[in-house]
Amino acid sequence: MQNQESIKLISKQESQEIKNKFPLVDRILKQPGIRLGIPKKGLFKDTWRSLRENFIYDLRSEIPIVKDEDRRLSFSFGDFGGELMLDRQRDILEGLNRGVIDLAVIGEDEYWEARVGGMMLEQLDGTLGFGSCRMCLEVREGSSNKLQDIRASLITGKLVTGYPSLARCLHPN
Amino acid sequence: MPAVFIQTKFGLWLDREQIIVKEGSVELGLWQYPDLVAAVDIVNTGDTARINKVQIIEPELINFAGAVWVRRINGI
Repeated sequence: MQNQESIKLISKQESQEIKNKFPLVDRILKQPGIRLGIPKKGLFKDTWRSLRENFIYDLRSEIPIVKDEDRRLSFSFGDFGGELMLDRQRDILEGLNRGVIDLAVIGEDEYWEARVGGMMLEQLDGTLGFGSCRMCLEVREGSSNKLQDIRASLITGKLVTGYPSLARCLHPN
Repeated sequence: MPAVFIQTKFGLWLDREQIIVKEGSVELGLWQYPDLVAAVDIVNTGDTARINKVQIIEPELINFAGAVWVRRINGI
């Protein structure tokens, strides 16, 4: 019994620490009719767990299975008509930009690509603690890995990326 | 060098004609099209399948901390 009580106390403390770390998000999530977007692939499972454990306690515990590749899924939450939408990250960013989504969880890579590309977005509070990644320069296996060779190849060849805005602004230093 | 060109961190000179935007599997694009020389893309932590298909020349152009909360500027 003592053990259970101490576990409960730690859990409450951790929950309060999370709230302290995200004061703006915590306040916004309580606004009536809030429209929240989260990724339906990639970051989805961690985001769902984090939302349920730290932000929206009435979300159902089981993680919904997202089968349809194209259809946007939505759930209601909270006592004030909140709506939770699952969509592709770039569609969520477009939704934020057009004002049909109020708040979203997005990978920092996609956030900066959108910011550098001109979308008027801002990050709130800290990072959620999952989904870290790196942007790399890659070439085919077996081809030269010397920068001068890659540079020479690009006089006639092309560079491929899913992040054109960030790729263009990687200045020295 | 024309003003529209941009020097990247890794010393490549790029303009709009030299950058192809490809959604999905960028490394497959590298293998499919001979005129694609290099890729700038994301590698997720623990993602080893794609690392086997390409050589990573510069592993940390940018480090991203992870998922973040985002809203429109002056939004709700």
